[in-house]
Amino acid sequence: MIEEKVLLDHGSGRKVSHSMFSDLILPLFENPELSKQDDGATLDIEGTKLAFSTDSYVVDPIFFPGGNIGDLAVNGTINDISMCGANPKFISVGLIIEEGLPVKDLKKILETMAIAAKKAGVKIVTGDTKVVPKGKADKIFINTSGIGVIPPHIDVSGSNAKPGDKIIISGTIADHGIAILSSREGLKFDSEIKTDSAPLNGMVQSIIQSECDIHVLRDPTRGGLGTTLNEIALQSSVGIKIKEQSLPIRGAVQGTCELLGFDPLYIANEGKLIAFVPEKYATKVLELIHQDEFGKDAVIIGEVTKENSGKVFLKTRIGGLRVIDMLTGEQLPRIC
Amino acid sequence: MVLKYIEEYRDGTLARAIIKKIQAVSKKKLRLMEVCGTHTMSIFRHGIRSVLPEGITLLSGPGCPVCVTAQKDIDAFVEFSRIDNVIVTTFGDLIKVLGSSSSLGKEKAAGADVRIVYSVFDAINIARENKEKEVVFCGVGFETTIPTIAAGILMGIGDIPLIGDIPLIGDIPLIGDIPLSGMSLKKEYEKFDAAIKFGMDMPDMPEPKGCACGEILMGLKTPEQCGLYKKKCTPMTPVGPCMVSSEGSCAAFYRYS
Repeated sequence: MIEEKVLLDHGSGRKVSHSMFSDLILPLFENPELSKQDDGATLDIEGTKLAFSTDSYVVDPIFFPGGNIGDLAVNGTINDISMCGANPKFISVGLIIEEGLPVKDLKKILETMAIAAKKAGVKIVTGDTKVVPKGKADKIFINTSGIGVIPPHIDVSGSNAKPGDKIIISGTIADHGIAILSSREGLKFDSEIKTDSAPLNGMVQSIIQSECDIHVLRDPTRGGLGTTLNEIALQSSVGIKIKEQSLPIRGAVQGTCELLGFDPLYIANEGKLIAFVPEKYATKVLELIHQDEFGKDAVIIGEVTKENSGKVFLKTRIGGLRVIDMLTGEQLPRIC
Repeated sequence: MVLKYIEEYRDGTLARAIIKKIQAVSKKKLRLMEVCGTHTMSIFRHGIRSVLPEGITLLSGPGCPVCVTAQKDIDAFVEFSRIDNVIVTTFGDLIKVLGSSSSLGKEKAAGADVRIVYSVFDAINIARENKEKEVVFCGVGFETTIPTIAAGILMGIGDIPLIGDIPLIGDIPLIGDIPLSGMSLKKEYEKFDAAIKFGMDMPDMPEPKGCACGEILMGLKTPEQCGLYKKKCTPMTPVGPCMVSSEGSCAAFYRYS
């Protein structure tokens, strides 16, 4: 890290946050589990494989079209656990509340969390509440952590992508980021775009319980699809090629991105996964995802290549080729 | 809010037919320069360079607001953010632009009230909600951004001082002064000029050593021909304005090629 002070960009999930992780955090805590850099850690406790993950939520505003910070926090950790190939069972909740938050807002957030946990079949089993003086936090911040058991035969990781793998996305991209943006103070615009926040454990369970091999599961949250594909290309030392025409995106989301100059490839998703599967299982996995409530719009968007290791390419609509880099510093902070 | 033009203007079949035609008729070497940051981005986003005949070179000229903002203006924005009771409002791109010693992003991290807005009207709303404070809007850009800024002033909103020194093609750093160029507020609107209001007059700063932004903006060099490109100068550690702005030629080259 070259900066003297932490900048907003350090929390963006993009290039600068990666440098903070690898230059500052990783060297201090160095261990094999952390070094894998997956969405959650995979642990071996007396022969049982566990997935363990934590995430903090600071989204602004706390209520937005289609959800609020509460279900976002529950679904987010459920998904991180699920992306390790595990079935999330128990989660913890830490609340940091700013003095003055209306109790009715807190109640609404907690109710939403209870509904989200119930829907996903997970229990909130432990937690903590802190209240800080007015101005020392912004309304409410939520941390959730979770654990789940990984079946013995399952080995999914961002470092498992193999040349020839097909890449599946479970639905439309960029919905969450644009929904947050549309409700931001100072930038309010009318739109029907809602967050895609959803639990993906059901979808993941149906895939991993099938006979299909799965190499990688990832949810492209902060940093969007473009950043997540870059992470996987680097972790697995492979190239990735996707097709622009295959990318599922809602018309309204695309329109908003055009107007504001955003690239939907770098906008956050909160209820989507990407799966890397060997070609012979691709159709079957796609079918399974289609059967899930949150996977109706799933499509194959590209494949893994041997050449161009560590790089992501996009074949554009007009037949051109474009490199998809990890984005550096876009100004869309606090989206989750 | 479904915008149909996206589909119509992005007709792949039509585009591929046009590309075929260009390939067929193109014989001589051509150098084309676009002078709009949005064009620069579109050329990269759609991979247009990769489908054109070899003889056609696309160059990116001075087309983004950041690229035509002098370092002394950035220094002034930084100074404004250090004044008590001042809220600095800015387009997002300017946040990380390094002046001679600091950037608005760094000042914000150090506690300054710097807010990102999408137009001058957001800044005006902030001014209305913060009547006890002075709100400065960093009015960078050229003809494309100036009308809305001018409209903001004309609406008679009052309490929002604006940066004068709005560079038009001419006051471009690294190219040098072009006579009778650059824009500032007329005398009758001087009370909206933050530089006058706060008596801000920043000295001209020497441009960074080894940086070829000037030549790149004039189409004399490509980013790869600059000694700093990808070495000392990257989007995370930008030296010149063409790397700082996401629409700058160097940043676009870095990201997409």
